[in-house]
Amino acid sequence: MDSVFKRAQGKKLSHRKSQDSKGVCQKSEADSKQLLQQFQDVIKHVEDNAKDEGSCKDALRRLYTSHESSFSAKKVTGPHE
Amino acid sequence: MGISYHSYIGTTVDQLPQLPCSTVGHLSLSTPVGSCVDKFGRVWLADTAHNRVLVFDSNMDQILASFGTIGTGPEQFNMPFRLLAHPDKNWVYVTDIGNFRVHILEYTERLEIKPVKIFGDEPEVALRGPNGIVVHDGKVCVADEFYEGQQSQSRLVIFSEDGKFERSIDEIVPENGGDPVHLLWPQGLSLDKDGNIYISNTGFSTVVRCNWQGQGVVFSATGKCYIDGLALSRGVSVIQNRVLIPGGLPNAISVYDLNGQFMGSLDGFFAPVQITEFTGANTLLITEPFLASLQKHTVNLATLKGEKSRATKVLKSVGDERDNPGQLHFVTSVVGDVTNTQSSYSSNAPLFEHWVEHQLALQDQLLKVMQPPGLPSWLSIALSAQTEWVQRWQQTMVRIFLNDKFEDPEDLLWMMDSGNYQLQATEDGKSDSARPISLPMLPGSLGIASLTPSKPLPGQLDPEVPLLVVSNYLSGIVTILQYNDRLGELVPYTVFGGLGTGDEQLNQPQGIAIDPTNNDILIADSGNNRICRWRLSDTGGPFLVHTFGQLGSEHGEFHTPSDITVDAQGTCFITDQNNNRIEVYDQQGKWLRSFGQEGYGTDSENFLLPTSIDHENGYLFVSDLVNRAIKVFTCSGEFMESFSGFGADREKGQLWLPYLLHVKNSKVYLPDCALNRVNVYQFNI
Repeated sequence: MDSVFKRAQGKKLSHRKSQDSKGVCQKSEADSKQLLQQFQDVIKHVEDNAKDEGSCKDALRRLYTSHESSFSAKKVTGPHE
Repeated sequence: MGISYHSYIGTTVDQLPQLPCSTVGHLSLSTPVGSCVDKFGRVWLADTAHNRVLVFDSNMDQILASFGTIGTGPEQFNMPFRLLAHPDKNWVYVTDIGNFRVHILEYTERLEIKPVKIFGDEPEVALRGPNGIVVHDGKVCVADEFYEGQQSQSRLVIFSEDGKFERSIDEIVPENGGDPVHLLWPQGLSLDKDGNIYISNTGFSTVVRCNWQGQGVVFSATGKCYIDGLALSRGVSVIQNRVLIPGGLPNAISVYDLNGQFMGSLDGFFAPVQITEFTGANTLLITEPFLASLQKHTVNLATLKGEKSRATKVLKSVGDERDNPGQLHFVTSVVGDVTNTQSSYSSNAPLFEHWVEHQLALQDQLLKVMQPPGLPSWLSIALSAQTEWVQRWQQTMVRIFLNDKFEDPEDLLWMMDSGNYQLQATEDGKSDSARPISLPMLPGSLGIASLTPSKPLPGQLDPEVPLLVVSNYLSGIVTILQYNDRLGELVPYTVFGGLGTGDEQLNQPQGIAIDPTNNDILIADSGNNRICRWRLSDTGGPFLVHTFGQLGSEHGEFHTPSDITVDAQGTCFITDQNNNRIEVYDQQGKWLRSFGQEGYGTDSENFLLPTSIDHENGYLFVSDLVNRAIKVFTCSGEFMESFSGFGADREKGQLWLPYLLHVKNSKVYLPDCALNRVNVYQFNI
């Protein structure tokens, strides 16, 4: 019989393999894409308006607001919820 | 060569006013684990990383008593972990995991508390990690988490209820025959009405059921004496003829009936650990150690069926935000260095700032009071996070308004203060010196690395200050931040990744390293079981160079690669966490060799969940989680030196849940996300 460590490793690995076949949660993936796009929009805005501090702050505030909404939309949990 | 403890960073806020006092505004918890309810309906809580036990009234409105300090004396603890109220006597058992012993505390109705017995540390028993505890029919059973049996298995230890050792249970023999079931790192224990013991068998991610003779009691739904298929098993509670397993599903509590049939799940949690039945109907006490809170919930478990998920209702939650000046909350990673002995952080209007802090604290209390009891658990956790997030933003705006900033932003130690959704920094490394320095971060931000491009990138505002690369575990997004001197804050420069399994996506990214030969960004993509190499083009745009690895245990495969470092020749060293080894790859992603194997040991190349790695001057430094050791190796894998210590003594550099370490100028910075501080060690070659 394998050592306890080896058996525990093997059990966790087989569980992980069974979970991996399900892939990541589609909704989480879509949320992540949306967040990435929002980041990119803000970065572009800051690049284009580097000297306008107020405008940059507004853009960052909008990014913040979108993050905030992700909490209220119950997206705070992990990728496999 | 030697490695020794030097200091720590992170303010400790554990002072209480004269008791009794209100729980609101006075209760800063540090990773609380165990709870119980005494014979007078009062709630006891193990404030584990603060090395004390707190007692509240049954409404959890008042703190009535605080018992214990750090140490080895009769009224002292090193990580009080699980609590258990004796069903008949005025006793509370406390497993004192870092001191390898169990206390019996006697209490009166007036809440006079005195220690009456300490047991389990006598030589013939020598507990190695007393965790869960149950009492039944005059006997006590303790889960000895880190005991190493002949096959490296852990054990249960049976005592009389007043602490006399009787016997150990080293394996569970199923009542229907078959191979014995072994325990590995058992944590929580619970009992059903027949007195059967339920064991959260963490190392196997199962819940095992046995009687007091160690005979496995089979679940009829599975034909086995254990429940498996769990994401995690770090606790178990049998309540109302249901088996509740916190973390059995991610961010949820799995619920089974006593036949082992999955009934459904309770969602809206982060990482719950201990569930205790309260005196009211359908009322549960639930600790959320990483949210630094104790919560009271109500749910009718009898109506949960059909494998559905549902929210509980939150009646009460206690535990202030851990956002006092210099305080850290779930600190996960560090980069940079401490080079100054004096701080030059300029606070331009300290009185105003204190006023703002006070107003925010009041606002925080007000919002908590206004939160009506009975909110669904998912909404309660979202609102709490949202409140904290709003405050981070308000504090950022105040700092920008006042022009509060570090004078030498190129010369800082940066810390990912993940639980407070921000980066903090320090110049002098003193214990209370951490100050916020970023816009609010995404929840789940974990790893950081610093990147100094060989020549300034287009749009880079201050090339003197390194870019910071941040990985986000939840969203899979990697953000590169730059320092904006006008704002005195870090702002996004570029982003890449995003959650998924595609080539350019990431899933649960953790540690990050920069290849010193070409400034490539290497990411431990732990959920996809691979390493990703990204590069910034001359125009500052990120692109994927290659990925390598897949799920498995053969060479060329990973099972949760958690961190990576790259030496001066471009060779990559990876902590292959669940395979208990270090994997070595060349710059093209070709496997070269590996070293290490599973096993206990603080001064060898045995690993148990090696979590983090960095290098300096030809030496590798590995944080070995279960062994609670920082191990130093040559780059060819020869063990050289180590520091180890399990516990919560901040004067000794002890460790509980060390995360992503960082080595710079002969110093090892090791954030401990459960102790909420960054330990600093020195080494000499």
